[in-house]
Amino acid sequence: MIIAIEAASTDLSVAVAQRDGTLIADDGWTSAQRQSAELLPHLLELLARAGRSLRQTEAVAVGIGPGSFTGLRVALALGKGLALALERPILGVPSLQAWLSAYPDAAAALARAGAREAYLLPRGEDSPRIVDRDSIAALVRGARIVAPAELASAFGLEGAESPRAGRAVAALAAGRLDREPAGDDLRTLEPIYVRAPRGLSAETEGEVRWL
Amino acid sequence: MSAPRILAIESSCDETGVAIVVGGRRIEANQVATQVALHAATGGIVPEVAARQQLRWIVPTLEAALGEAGAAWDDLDAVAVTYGPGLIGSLLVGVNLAKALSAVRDLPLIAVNHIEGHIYANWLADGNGGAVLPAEPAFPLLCLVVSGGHTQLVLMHDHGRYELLGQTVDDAAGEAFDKVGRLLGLPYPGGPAISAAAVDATPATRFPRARTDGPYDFSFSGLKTAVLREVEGYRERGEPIPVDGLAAAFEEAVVDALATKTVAAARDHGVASVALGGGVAANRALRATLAQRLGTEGLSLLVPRPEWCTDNGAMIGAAAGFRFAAGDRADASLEAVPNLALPWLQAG
Ligand SMILES: [Zn+2]
Repeated sequence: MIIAIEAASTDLSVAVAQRDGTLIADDGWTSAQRQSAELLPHLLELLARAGRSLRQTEAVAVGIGPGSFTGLRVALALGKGLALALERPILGVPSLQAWLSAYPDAAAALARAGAREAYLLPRGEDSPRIVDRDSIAALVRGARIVAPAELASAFGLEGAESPRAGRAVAALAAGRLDREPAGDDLRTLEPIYVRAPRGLSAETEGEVRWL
Repeated sequence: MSAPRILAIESSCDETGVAIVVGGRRIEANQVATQVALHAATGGIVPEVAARQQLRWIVPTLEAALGEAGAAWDDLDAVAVTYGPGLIGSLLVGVNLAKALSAVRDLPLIAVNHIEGHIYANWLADGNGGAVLPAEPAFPLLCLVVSGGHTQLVLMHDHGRYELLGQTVDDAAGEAFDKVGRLLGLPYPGGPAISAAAVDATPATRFPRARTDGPYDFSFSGLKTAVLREVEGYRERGEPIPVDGLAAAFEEAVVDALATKTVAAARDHGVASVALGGGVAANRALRATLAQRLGTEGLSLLVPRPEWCTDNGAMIGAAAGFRFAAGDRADASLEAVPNLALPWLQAG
């Protein structure tokens, strides 16, 4: 059994899947402020509803963004704690790839990157880039996209699918687990931050190692 | 149950601490990963940097603590974690990691206030085997909590019963040290740098002591401005800035303010003991001045070891020992509370 947590946006999700990625149960909801209060209770309720126990977990899958720093911190800290105490592997899954995998018709995935920017991952590309809100319409040109509801509404994006992709995070992790049974390094696994924190100059950035 | 063995996690600011403490007193492991070198590069704590480092160091620190104690999961009786006050991004890391451990291992979860941790550092003792523990601090206990984020005079009537006597109305003492350190061109963090500069120096001036409305309140922002004016004066006159002398004058003013109000509060409230807590408690001038002035009142000063004064997991394990015994339990919905206050009793 694989448990999955996806919290790169305000559209949160948790999922439980077979080791081969077949979904057992999932849950999705929206929370802008209460990721820390809600993620673990939702996961525990989901397991109870599915008649499973945490101890049956064979691997822990976590969406690693990019996206909400708060959501990703909560998800990664939970994921690390679960993997550590369960003594099972952890697998970080790039969130926007999981979102696209959950919606095969979507051409791009978008997550919030501050007040006026978004992380954009067009289908077929490997790494997300940061785009200004004013340039998004031209970039996606009316195609179907995956983006959290709050971002779609704030940036005026129409026809966006909600990225409640915990099930896709579990499925992508299952695919990797066969090839890499040890998963990622529990100690060093981090979110995809894309850029250094505000307040760090180019010089200090050199001294601060991020990725 | 015999004394509980508690795994305690502290991640409220820029130190990642994990400890194993038995019965709220005996330290079996106390591991701290510090980001000071990193923040020296940015001249202070950048919250997003601190939070990212917490996530990076929490697992290695925890594994080091389990290793130091030679403890397995089944040897633990509870998991404790700081849930405030502090930087939200940093707090979230410890809180969520602790909740996950508690859920998987069916361990009671104890939520600890960081300030309570600094106070309970005075209960800590080394973990070596059957050695007799030193006596506990006697109540009523007056505790001066001084750090980069806090300056509070707390009257502790009993376990968990706190009265706030006074606090800073502007900057925390440690914050003032950092800001003045920067003014004087000293490296970050300012506290140790100013103390080192001041140690053999004669104060270059006497800075005014702030007046506050509350009898036990503190104010350090005027002092910071006074240092700035002095520095500008030397610059305008084209004279070299006597960095060591100004550092000594500044430290003297801060220590005098802290000691004067602490001694007054101790005398006015007839306390049984006086204790220090928080990173600034490592300041030697503060320890010496306070101990000397309390001595004339017939009181002695309790000071935790320097490594228990700065942020660490052991102090959280100490406070958790009391919370555990009192039956306090948190659950999977525990949130981080950046502006968390102690449950103050009403004065009187
Ligand atoms: Zn502190």
